[in-house]
Amino acid sequence: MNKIVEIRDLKFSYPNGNNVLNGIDMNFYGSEICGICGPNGCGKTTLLKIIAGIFKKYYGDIRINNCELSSLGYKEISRLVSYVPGDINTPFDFTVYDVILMGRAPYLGFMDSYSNSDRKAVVDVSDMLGIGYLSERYFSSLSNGEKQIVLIAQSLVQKTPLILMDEPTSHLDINHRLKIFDTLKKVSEKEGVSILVVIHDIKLAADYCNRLVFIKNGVISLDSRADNIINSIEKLSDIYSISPASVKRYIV
Amino acid sequence: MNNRIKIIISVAVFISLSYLSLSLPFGCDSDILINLRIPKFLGIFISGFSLATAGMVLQLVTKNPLADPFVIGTSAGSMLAIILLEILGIYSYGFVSFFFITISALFFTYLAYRISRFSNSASINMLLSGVAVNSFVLSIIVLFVIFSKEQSLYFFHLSFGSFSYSNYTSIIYSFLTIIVSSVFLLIMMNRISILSFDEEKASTLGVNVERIKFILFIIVSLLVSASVSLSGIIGFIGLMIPHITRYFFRGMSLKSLFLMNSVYGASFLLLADVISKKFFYPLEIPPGVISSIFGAIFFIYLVMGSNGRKRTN
Repeated sequence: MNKIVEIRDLKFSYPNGNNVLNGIDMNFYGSEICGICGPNGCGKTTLLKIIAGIFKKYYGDIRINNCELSSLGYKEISRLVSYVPGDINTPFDFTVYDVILMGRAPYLGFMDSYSNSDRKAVVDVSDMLGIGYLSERYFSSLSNGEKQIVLIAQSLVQKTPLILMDEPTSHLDINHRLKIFDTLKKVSEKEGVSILVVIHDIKLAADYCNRLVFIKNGVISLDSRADNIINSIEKLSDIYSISPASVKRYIV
Repeated sequence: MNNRIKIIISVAVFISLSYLSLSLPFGCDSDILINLRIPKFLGIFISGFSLATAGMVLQLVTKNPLADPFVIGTSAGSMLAIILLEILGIYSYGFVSFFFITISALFFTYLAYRISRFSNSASINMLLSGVAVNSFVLSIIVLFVIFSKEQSLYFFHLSFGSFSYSNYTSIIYSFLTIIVSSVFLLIMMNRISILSFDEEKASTLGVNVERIKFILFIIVSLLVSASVSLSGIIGFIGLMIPHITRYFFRGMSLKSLFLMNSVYGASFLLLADVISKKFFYPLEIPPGVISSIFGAIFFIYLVMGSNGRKRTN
């Protein structure tokens, strides 16, 4: 399997002195969906934002497709990694079509405007995800589930080998949760991209991900195949500080 | 109504307002036209254009629909530089003066931005720190106005906006400024659009957020200086006009929106000028005052109207 991301001894603290990550070591491989779990405030989102190039002041090495992350500019990172935030509130009126089209921005030159092939990519991805009917709607008028799918579409037209997602299903009902993860599974199989998804729902994660990584106190405390998670109940009860019986009741 | 029809009507209104502003009162006399009315007309056009555009840029950058160069302290920054240069007796309408005015505007705008960055980066904070910076600078301006006895009236006029002091040299500088700024804005339009969608998302779409913001603050300072050096401080245009254009041309591409925004900005000040000439002649009422009075009423109507529609949906 080809290695997409390689993280060595990653440390990060916020300007207020709060140490969030204390030495993360891990690899991510092509065409896998990897769930990142852990208690609130354990640094899941921070890890995602570092890999996405939003937080720049970290210690350690991150290599994406064998390129050192800190040596890449914004444009270069945006061609390797796309980031899907949990939710976006914009006070302005953007049509869904325009929002998805923004995903092509990494490929624009200094004075370029979007080309016909950029526009075709938007139409293709919208059709694949079945959201073509939304394209004239305003992004701000969509439901949370629709917004999330539009943001996924935006990151798909970005055509990056790695997609990062921050709690894509936290505001959604069961129907939309399943729909989004079905979409992710389809995308990862069809396009061969690897997806890193921060998620709280361990059961959902175990169903759809290939691999689950648990972070606690800024280090990786469990890294397991998703179908094997049932054998790590002791460990999980330690990570979430709840009894093994509760863990069992929740994930089985 | 079709967007194209709206654009045609807007441009027609703009042209007729231009004609009225040039011909009122008592028709066109070539001498008056060249020496008084055309400079004043150009001044009004440039001010409306640049303030509306600056307001639009600030609202997009801060993602706050209340942002405006007058609220955030950019206008006051330019004004302070003009007053300082006047008091030192070195104010000319030349390049060096214009440069200082722009630097001062940029300094106070960026100051407001940096202060907002000390706390959590919620966009509302740029507005709060801007209000603080603005009132600080305005107080200094008032101090200068009080202590400089001979020029008090002139400064007083400038701080409420007046086009009686426009001359061709400053008009040329301001005109060049709005052209250069518009070209830069056009080049950066895609990036501005992404930035106003979401900042973190923008940085993962290949936009260097801090750099773009700094460039946009420079452009805003240039635009505001172009206006302030012609007419002093005119408030409210930069706040109100972008709302009106976004409301009329909902969903139109950002490029066309900017264009219509500047046309509306100019039209609005021209309308104020026409009203002032038609109803208050021979008194000289500053267009900024008229535009704020009528604009505020219209604006409130618009805000209430759009809320009403949201509730019924």
